[in-house]
Amino acid sequence: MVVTFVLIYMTTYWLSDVFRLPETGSTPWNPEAGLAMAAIYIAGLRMLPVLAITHFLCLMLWAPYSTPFWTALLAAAHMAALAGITQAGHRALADLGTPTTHAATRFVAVAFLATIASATLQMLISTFATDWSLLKILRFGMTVSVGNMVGIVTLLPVLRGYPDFKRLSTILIPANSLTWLLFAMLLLTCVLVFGFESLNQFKFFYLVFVPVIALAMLHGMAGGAISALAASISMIAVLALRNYGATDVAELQFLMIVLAITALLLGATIDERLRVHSENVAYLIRLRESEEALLRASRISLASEMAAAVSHELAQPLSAARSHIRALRRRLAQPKPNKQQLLSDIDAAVNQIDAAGTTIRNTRDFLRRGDNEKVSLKLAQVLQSSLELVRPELRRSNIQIEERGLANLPEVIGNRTQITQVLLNLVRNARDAMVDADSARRSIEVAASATMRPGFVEISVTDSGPGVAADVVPHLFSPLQSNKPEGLGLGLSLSSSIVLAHGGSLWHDAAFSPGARFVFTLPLAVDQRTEMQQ
Amino acid sequence: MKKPAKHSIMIVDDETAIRNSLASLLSTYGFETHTLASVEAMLNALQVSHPSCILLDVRMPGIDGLQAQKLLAEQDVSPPVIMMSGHGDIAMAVAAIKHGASDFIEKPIDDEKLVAAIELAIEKHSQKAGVAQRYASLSPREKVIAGLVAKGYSTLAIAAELGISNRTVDHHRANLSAKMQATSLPQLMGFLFELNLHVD
Repeated sequence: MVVTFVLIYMTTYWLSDVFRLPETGSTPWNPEAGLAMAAIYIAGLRMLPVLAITHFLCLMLWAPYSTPFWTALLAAAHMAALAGITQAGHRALADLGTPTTHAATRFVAVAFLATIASATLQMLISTFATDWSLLKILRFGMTVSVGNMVGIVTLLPVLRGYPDFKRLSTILIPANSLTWLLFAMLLLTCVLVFGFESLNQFKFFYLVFVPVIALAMLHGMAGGAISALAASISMIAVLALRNYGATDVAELQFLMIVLAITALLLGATIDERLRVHSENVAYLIRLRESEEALLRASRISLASEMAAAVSHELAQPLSAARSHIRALRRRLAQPKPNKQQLLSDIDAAVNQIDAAGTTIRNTRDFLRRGDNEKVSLKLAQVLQSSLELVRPELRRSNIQIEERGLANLPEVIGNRTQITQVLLNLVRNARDAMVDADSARRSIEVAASATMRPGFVEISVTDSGPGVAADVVPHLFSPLQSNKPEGLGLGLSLSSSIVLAHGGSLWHDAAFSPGARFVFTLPLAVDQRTEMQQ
Repeated sequence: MKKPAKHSIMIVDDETAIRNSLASLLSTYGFETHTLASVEAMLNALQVSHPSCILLDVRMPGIDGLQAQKLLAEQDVSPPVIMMSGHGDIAMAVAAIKHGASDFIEKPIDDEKLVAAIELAIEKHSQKAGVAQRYASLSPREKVIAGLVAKGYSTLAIAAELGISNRTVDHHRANLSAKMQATSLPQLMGFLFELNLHVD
């Protein structure tokens, strides 16, 4: 393992040797710096001696530097700087696993610090080990810095994920044709920009940004990192083939650093945005689910209030049916039963059983988990069957229910269960208000009419109770505000959101007096609109 | 089951289905039935007709069964009332009994129990009517003594109260028992209690 690494390191170093400034012996492209930091990040400080020795060997083989003593010291100082900063910035490198703009920025800072630390030490050693002028030492430090920085920002983000290259492979292996096209474009751009000496490479360098940025936007930080690395290698390859001078290469590497950092930051931003987006979607789904559960709970609470009335509503027809059947049996036992009476008892019993069945069906329909589907509904039918659900309890509370304009209503777009829920809520509130106030005259009017707003129908629920108290009006529609001791205070708030979700609105008609009036609107089905206008 | 004379039953319930089904069922027992949808309608009908028994639903819009029972109890001669209650209305039915209803029966109606209750109510009512009739045949003096007997006065106490001899009291008491067709003191007391003579 270590031997393989050493061989890879030495090969990389040998490759970087394509450009070497004759004056200082430094190279403007040092991919092995990124390799070294990745090794420290993955395997820890125990890699430091191996790295220092390997680097020393490389220097001795390809870049003789002063005496072996100073060369060894230089290699050790370089590796110590890289290793120290890698360890110190371990957290920042780890955070790059879930890329954020913040993590990417900290990564760039780590790369920069490692570069500066290594260059500073190398320059310091050079003042003792060589007889270079200060200018030469500075130039040496500059080239070393640029080369290391390029190596680190292009290689480390890709290699730090070792041995989990899954994220990277997911980009390349199932890549769509667009990804391949962009990589091809990247290569082509490098060839075009750097392959012809007549072109001004500095001016046209920016063309390389196009595929790199596109890939970063497409695949996030992984895309940015791979494309920056690809751009860097392509550029070096083309420049080497074209026999560029090391000085030109060093200057171009500045631009390469900018490109790589841009790609990383952009990619991380894209990843972060995607992650936030999917979190938002998950949150919205959870919100929707809890809203549905709430609607259902509120339906069940409405229904449990209804339970006494419903059981009465069931007991009546069943009791009647039983009486008819008992009568039937007794008539049949008579010597000469009257056929007409027998038939009438049978018909009456069947009718009563049907009535009980309808009650059960209505209640069950209402309780069933509601979907959110909005369809074209016959409003008259929805309102009528909703009123059937509350009729018994209104009768028990001695409340008259009046209907106005409920026949011949147009079709609306909506959800049957939810509209029922809104109407029940308003009627139930009206009932409670009158019962609590012990109103002498108790009536509820449910009316439907055309509205001022085209394409909508208006439904109002009006009671003859005491009306809404002035201090209650401001928070009438706020959730968890209830005047009833057992009330959850969700009724009006939920009803209002249901109506809003239908595209209509629900309001309290403050001008109406005496009593209370609540009004809501629902959008008409498209083909009904002209009809209602007339 | 013995066949009763053609009694007429008034059925008062706001639910058409309940009214009609009970009418059909009771007709198979040989009752004549008269169905009404509200207490108001019943009070009007009672001006002209005199049913043997009234079946009254406890819960009705407007005047409910309980209030109706109170209204009926204020009248001197009213037919016996059987309250019909739905599940959970037992408390109301008990209140109705306290106010003088003869019986209550829970829905769903068991026809045999209902018919038994109707017959019992009618019989009790006619007994009560008989007692009242016999009481009316008493002399004023006997009525005074009947009142004192009902309040638990002994012969001695009655004699002292009225300032007459024990013998005279005994004589009146014998006539009283004979006219009321009571064979024992407890039975006499029962009749007098029914007439509410034990309270002023």
